[in-house]
Amino acid sequence: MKWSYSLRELRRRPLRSGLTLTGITIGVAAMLSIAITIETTRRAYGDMYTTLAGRAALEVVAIGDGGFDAALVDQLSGTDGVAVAAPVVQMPAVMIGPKGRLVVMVIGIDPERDTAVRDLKLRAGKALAPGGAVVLLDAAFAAANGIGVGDDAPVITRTGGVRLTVCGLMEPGPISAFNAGAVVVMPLSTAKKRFGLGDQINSVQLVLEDDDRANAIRQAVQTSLPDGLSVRPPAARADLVRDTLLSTEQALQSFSIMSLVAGAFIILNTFLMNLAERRRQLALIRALGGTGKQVQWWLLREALLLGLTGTAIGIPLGWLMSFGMLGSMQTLMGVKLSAPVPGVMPFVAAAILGPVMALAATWVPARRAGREPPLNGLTAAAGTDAIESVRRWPLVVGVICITLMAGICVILVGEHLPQRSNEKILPAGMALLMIGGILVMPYLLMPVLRMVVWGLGPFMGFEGRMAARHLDRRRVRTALTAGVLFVAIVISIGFGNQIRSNLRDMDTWYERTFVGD
Amino acid sequence: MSVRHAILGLLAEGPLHGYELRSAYENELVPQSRLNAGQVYATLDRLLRDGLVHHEVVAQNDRPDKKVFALTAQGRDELGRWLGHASKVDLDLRNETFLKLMVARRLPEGDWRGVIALERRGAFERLHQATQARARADRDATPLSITLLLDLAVLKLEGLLEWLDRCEEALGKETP
Amino acid sequence: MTTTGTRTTAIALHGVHKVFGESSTRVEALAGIDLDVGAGEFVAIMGPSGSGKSTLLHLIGGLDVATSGTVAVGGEDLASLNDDQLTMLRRRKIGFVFQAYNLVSVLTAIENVALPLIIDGIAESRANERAGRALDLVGLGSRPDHRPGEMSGGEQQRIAIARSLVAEPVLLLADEPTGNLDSVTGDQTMRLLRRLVDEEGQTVIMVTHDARDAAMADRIVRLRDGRIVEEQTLPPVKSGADVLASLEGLDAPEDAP
Repeated sequence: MKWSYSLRELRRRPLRSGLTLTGITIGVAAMLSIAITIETTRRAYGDMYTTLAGRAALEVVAIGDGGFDAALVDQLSGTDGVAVAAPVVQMPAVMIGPKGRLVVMVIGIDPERDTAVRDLKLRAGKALAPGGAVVLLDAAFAAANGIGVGDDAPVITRTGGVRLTVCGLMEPGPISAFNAGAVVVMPLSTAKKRFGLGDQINSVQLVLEDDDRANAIRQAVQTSLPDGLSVRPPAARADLVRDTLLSTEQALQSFSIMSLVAGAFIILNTFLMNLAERRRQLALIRALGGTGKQVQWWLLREALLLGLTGTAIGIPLGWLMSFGMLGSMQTLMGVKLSAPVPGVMPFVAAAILGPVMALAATWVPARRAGREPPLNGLTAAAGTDAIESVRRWPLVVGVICITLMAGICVILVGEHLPQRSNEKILPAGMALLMIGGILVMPYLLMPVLRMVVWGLGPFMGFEGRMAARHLDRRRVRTALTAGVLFVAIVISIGFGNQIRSNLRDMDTWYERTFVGD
Repeated sequence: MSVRHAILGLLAEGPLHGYELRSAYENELVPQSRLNAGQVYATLDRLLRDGLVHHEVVAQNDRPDKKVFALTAQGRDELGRWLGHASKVDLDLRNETFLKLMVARRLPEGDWRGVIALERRGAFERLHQATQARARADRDATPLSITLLLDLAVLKLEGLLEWLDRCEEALGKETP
Repeated sequence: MTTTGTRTTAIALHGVHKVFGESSTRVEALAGIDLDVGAGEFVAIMGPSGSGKSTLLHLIGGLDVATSGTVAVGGEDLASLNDDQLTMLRRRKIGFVFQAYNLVSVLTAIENVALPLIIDGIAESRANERAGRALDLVGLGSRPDHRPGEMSGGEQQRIAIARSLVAEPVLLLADEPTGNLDSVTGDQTMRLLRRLVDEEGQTVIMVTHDARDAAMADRIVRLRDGRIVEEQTLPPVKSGADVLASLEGLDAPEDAP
């Protein structure tokens, strides 16, 4: 059978094919752009921590990149083999420059101990003085934003706002390379006091007396550390980035999977509609000597064509979308991000995913259509289909999916698993929950529908009752449509919340600024 | 069917003698029909008597003289009157099949089903002939008069067969 | 193939029963059918609705399987075939003509006709060549690229007939082929079937409720309640003039004096 026949079938219903195509395109684009965004963000964080480390061979950080008590610094300084232990705090912030708001990273260092870790060469002005309300800026960054030595530098973080003075400009070097120059370096004591951090720091960088003994020292330090802290080479901190990004990545990956599932359900929905309309045609093919396999393959090929087309559109679209997403990530994480990094894997995955998604969604109904005896379709009056029987297996599978998701929740809440594995489990769990929800929906939908019909009965009139009857007749499709709506609502609510909470954060920052003024 | 008016119609085209009239009727007007000579002359005599036609004798050298008939003005009027009035619809309901069915239905041993089957076989046989003759008529450029008669035959037979179906259904209800 | 006398048998049915449903919903659609159809024969199956005539056609066409009895097409017992083998039988030995034409709307006339060959995996050029010949046979050779929607009902049914012929089947099965047509195009369709029997030696089995269509066949089989209640072989047709001569009532009646 020729491919052009399949194309003609698809063109016969341009709207429906277009809808299916949109579903696939969005799924592929979302998946690709999110994969690129995650990869680019990870890489940016990795680079950031490596440059920050300077001469330090080891560093102590909290798992999850949170804060810990500064009292540890003295303990670490006294450890055998450690020459200097330099504490560092860091936090995303907004600086108000002459040209407007700048997203920056605040780095708080101990000016005395830090000289052992890295050299801060000054192009202009003076070095940091301990306890002073002063900051160092990257020379190029300052120049680009019209800031000079002696200028005011209002800095706002989530925990407070403060007006500081620029005391010096740095030559390009370890710190200024960090976050593409968008850094504000200030004395640790000032940062702690002004931002209300108490005695919390984010990392302690260890310069060793002998780097060859790094392994032994690492083991010694690790045993002395309280739970939740870890010592490792700075490069390995890139792994910790994953933990830093965990919640955001999970949200993004869940969105990515939801888009795929939604896309698959859109395909399935329109495909079932097609099948009902084409029963007679398919029966005819069987009567003319087409095998069930041929019919199945004929149908799958249409899905495959849509899958390939959707992928072809979705990949460039996803690449474009990744620029926008990186912009949002930059705002969200307070990290300066480079242009998207086009790794090969996301593209390969997207290219496979589109067609596979289309085939997976249509496989079962296509197979069933192929197995239907030709006589059923030939004797059915044109355009009619029997009331869809609701089978038991979707209920069973749906309940299993939801139970699995509940199990995952228990495991996550109880923290029975290492944190790293959450990242993989949570999106999968989201997908399970959605698939389960959609499968169970027909069983919930019909009683609900009947209740609505019963309740509204007197007000609905004839047309309303007809519509309800029609929905009842095509249960599977009605449930699928409801399922797609459900997914769309979940996505909108999820994203709406995230945007709202980001906006609230911004509002808080601004309020603090005005209070600070 | 009125031979009288058919003759008036043929004469309206131009004067004809008896033999010509007869062959025009048999070959052109009503194909495959037979009109006997006696009937032609008897009809002509009546038409002469009523003043609808007149005739003149044409002398022939080697044969007996022949009479050539032509329409009078009165005859033309009569022809117009005939064409201008609706015919009595030919609806002979007293057919033999009906009679047989009515008899068979009343007799205790009467096999009306057998009657229907026989009548149907006969009708189908003739319909088989008529439909195929009609199909050939289209292919073989048969005169219009013939194809129209075949159509009439096909439709009448179809009607008869449908009527037999109804008889079967109705009688079946009466004596299951 | 089995041979009876000089004529080969296209299909042979013996003691065929077909039962639908079970116990309380049990319906015996066919209650013991014996029927032989010779090659090149044109058989019409008649009967009131529910008499089992469509079921009979489906069994002969391998679209359904008999509950008991044997259905042999071209000497092959259908009961011994699995689903794939039945599919192959339909593909190569049987041509279907349906009441609703059942053409694929997105395909052109010639593509519709070539469909059974394309399904059979025959190369497109070869399939089109054969489809072109089948279209010529039904008188639509000049319109190969029209879509079904651009053609009249009669033309669509002729395309369907061309499609049923294209694989050169042993048997052509027609289910109410004139059911959706007006009487003129219906007659044309019936004459086409008749011509295929007379000139191409095609075997045709047709289900119809229309007496005029049935009268075009060589034999009429009448079904009631799943049984053959009557069979009538129609005599060969004489010339058109003979037919006319045998029709009475044409002789001139006596006029009233």
